[in-house]
Formats: sequence, structure tokens, C-alpha cells
Amino acid sequence: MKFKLNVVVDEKPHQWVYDNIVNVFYDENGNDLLKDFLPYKADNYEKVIPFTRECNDNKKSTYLKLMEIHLGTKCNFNCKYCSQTAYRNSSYSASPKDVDPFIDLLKNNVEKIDRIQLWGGEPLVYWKTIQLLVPKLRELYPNAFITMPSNGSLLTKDKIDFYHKYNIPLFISHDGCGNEKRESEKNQDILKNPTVREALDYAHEVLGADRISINATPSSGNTNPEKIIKFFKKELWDDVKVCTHNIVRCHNSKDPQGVEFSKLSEEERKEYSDGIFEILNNTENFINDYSLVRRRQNLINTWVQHLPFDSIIAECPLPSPHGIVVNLRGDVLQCHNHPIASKTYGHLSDLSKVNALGYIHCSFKERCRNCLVVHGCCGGCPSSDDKANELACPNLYALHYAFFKSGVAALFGAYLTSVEKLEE
Amino acid sequence: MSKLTINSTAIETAVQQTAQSKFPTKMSQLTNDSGYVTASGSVDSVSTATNTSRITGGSGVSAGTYGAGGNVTVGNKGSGSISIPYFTVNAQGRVTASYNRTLYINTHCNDCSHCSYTCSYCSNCDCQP
Repeated sequence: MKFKLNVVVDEKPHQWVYDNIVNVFYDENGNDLLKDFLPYKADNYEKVIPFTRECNDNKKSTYLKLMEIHLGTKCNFNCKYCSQTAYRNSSYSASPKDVDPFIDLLKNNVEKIDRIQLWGGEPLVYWKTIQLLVPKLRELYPNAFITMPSNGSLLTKDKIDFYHKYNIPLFISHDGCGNEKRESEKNQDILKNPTVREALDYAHEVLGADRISINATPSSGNTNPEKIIKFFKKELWDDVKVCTHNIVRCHNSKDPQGVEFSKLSEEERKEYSDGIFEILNNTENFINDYSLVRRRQNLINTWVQHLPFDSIIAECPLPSPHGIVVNLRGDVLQCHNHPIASKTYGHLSDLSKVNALGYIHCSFKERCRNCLVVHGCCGGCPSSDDKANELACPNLYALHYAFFKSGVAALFGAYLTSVEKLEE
Repeated sequence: MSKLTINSTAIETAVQQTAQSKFPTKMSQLTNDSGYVTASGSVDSVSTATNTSRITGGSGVSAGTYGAGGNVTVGNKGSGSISIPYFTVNAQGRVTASYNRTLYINTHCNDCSHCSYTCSYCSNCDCQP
């Protein structure tokens, strides 16, 4: 699909063309706007064979760039937009007795892991298991990058010492100035909990700001990313690292609460998109949200290399041989958002028989093939059901339109005013 | 000061009234005599890319200068890193700042997925600004 880009360069209007299939920008005369970067054109990119939920030739490798370990869906919070609400009582919950057999499975079946993520529910609910598991993972994979996305409510100084000892950065979910959807009578704002505040300040001292990440989920009533960032700078530390890219979205169309709380109005999406652009298009503020910088950089990377549509795998590496989700029994799961038996596709004990099933490639979705921002969005969650994916699309578009617009500004010094589709 | 008057009008008030009447103090009162494009309602919807219309022709305006042409530090072909100029722009397309940053060339970004959990700590690449 080709798009007309109405841009302004040095106060003069221009009409450029962008082709999302070849991922190339052209000026009015049909010249490649990035011709100066053509030495970097990816001649040998890996062409992706489109996969469906039922058919994917990719079998899991013994070299895993990402292993997600799903500990269970137990959680002491009840966030309104939680992607696991429907599976709270139907997933396997890890216990300390699982650790040794699981480590044996890894020793015998996985050669290398780059990154390990420990997922809940709330992972710190599984603290006894974590205390046994993490030291053994660290011993087995000393250079692996280990993280645990947590709501932070159970943090103590002792736990921070554990993070420090095993070289785990602190990853906390909090929505900043609009945190209400994470709170209830039982679950107060963690920043108002003296024990947690003490632990966070201790983490700042021991781990350092670069090893602490606050991840917000902008949702209805809270779609101004700059406000979110400023909240944490005021409430925590001036050098706090905040991520605002994780816009709320629907992961399960059969979960009425998830559907309801993932909705944003058109005005909110615009506020969010414009806010992201402002942060990225501002040399004063851009370092405040490294996740935005990173994602724009990834998009620009695809432009500079002219990586075409058929190089896109997915938003995550789980449909590929090098990404996997497992529970502590060794079951290979489809996704940490749907960690249930009916979405289990094999076992860690024989990865050569595990196909990456349950995912849909973006090439099977017309709206993705015809989308301006597909090289940033990569089709959204490949695991979500089709309807959920469709419901998530407008919010993701708001995010990725900001990356696109900011990327055009960054590379060409051009302000994108509007986009129109061109008939093929 | 407040006791000084001109024709029974306090000087402070007189000055304010004169200033307000002679000089525009709001963006909406300024005349856009150069035809600058403003960030108005023409900015594309952020909902989806489905609102389409057919282009009937180019603007006839030739492409002006733009930023990517210079300051490229040649690195390894196909991989490695390059230093490229980045710009910030205002709604008139004016470059308001430029700076060089290193772009790490790799294959498609899927390796860096879930980057909210790995970014800035990832050993595979350096995405720090």
C-alpha cells in the first residue's frame, strides 16, 4: 500500500509517498529519500514465512533469545485492565518443589538463553519459589538478562538486596498520576506504602536509576505521557526512568472488563499520540522515556535498511524458534497473557517437537497490509484473538503514528501534517 | 503609581488598554501573511489508517532540502552502527534542533521485542540516547 504524506519542510509543503510493502519513502520525483543510506540496505534479511494459529513451521530452538517463565496468575492486585483476568484460577501455579526438576529440564534441553522474564500474576507472590529459582538460573546462565515485571507492592529492602545480588533490574508497574485503575480498598497506591517507598529509595541507592524502570499503562483518563513522566520525577527522583509506550489494549475479546477498560476516546488517543510525538521531538525531554526513543529507533532502523513487509515477524519473538513461554512444569505455553492448558503446545523436554502454534502473522490481516505503521506495530499481539486484535488496533495506531511522525521529523527534518492512502 | 491618572484614568489602566488595543497579544490575533502551515485540523486522525481518499496529483512543489543527506558516518555494511543526524521540527517544518545519534543496525526489531522489560539493560544492543 502506498501513502501520500503531506509534510512541511522549512515552511514549504511537500507531498511525498511512502510504500509500506518495500518500506521506502519517495519525494515528488520518485527519488528514494533515503538514498544516502542505501549502503545499509538489508540484502540478506530473513524472509518470514507467514504463520497461522494452526500452522507454523518454526520449531523451538535450544538457543532462546527470550524465555518467559510463567510462575502463575496469582496476584494481590486486581487491576481493571488486567490481561489475565479471565485466567486467574485456571493456570498452573509454581511452587518451590518445581524448581529442581525445572532446572534439570533446562540443563538437558536448552543450550543458551539471552533473556529471562519471570511473569505472574504478581511474581513476588511466588517469593519462596523465586528465592530458589533465581540463584540456579543465574548459575546456569550467568550472562542472561533477568527481569520480573512486578506491581511493587511486596517490595522490601531485603528483596532489593536479592535483586542486587543476582543482577536483576527493578521493573515496577505504576500508572503515575492516573493510577486509580490499579488501586482498590485492599490495594492502595504503592507509593503511599512506607515500606515500599523505603525499598524504592534503597533500590535507587543500591541499584542506581539506570537499573530501575517504572512502566505505566496509559488508559482512559490518563493519556498524557508527559504528565505521567513528570509525576514520577516529582514523586520519586529526577533521574527516574519511565516507560509510557504500553498503551492499554484489549488482549481478550471474551473478557468484558478487559474490553471495557481498554477503550479510549478519539480525543484521548490524539492526546496520547501528540504527547508521544512531543516527548520524542524535544531534545529537552526525550531522554525521559528511553522506551519511546528505542522504539522510534527500531522503526528508523527498518527504514534505513529498507526492510520490507515480509521481514516482519511479530510484535514479540514467541512465534519464532527463539522465543518461548514455559511454566515451571516445563509446559510450553502460547503467551503469558493466556497461560492455560488449552493453549499449551508441547514440553521443554523435547523442543524439537514444539511448533510455535497459536499465533497469527500480520500478513493475514488486511488492515495490517494496508497500514502506515505496520513496521512499528508489527501487527500487534500475535497471540490475542482476532477480535481483541482488532479492538486493540486504534490504540496501537495512536502510539505508532507518533513514532512514524517523529521518525519522519528526525530523519528528514519534516513535519508530517496528514496521510492519505493511495489506490494501488 | 496607582494614584497617577490621565483624564481620570489610572496610568496603569491606560497603558494596559493602549497596549491591548494596538498590539496583538494572542496567536489568534496574528496575521499569517506568509501562509505558514499550522498544526490545525488537517493533522491526520490517529484512530486508524482506514480513512482514505485518492490523491489526484502532486503538489508541483519540488522537494526542498532535508536533513538526512549529510553527516553519515560510514560503518559496516548491513550491520554495525552509523551515526546519523536527528532533527526536531516545529509545525512549520522548521528544524528546531539537530544532533547526531548512533543508530545500531541489526535485523528487524523483533529481537528487541518486549523492550519495555529489557531496554537500556539489554546486553545485545545499546539503545541509550
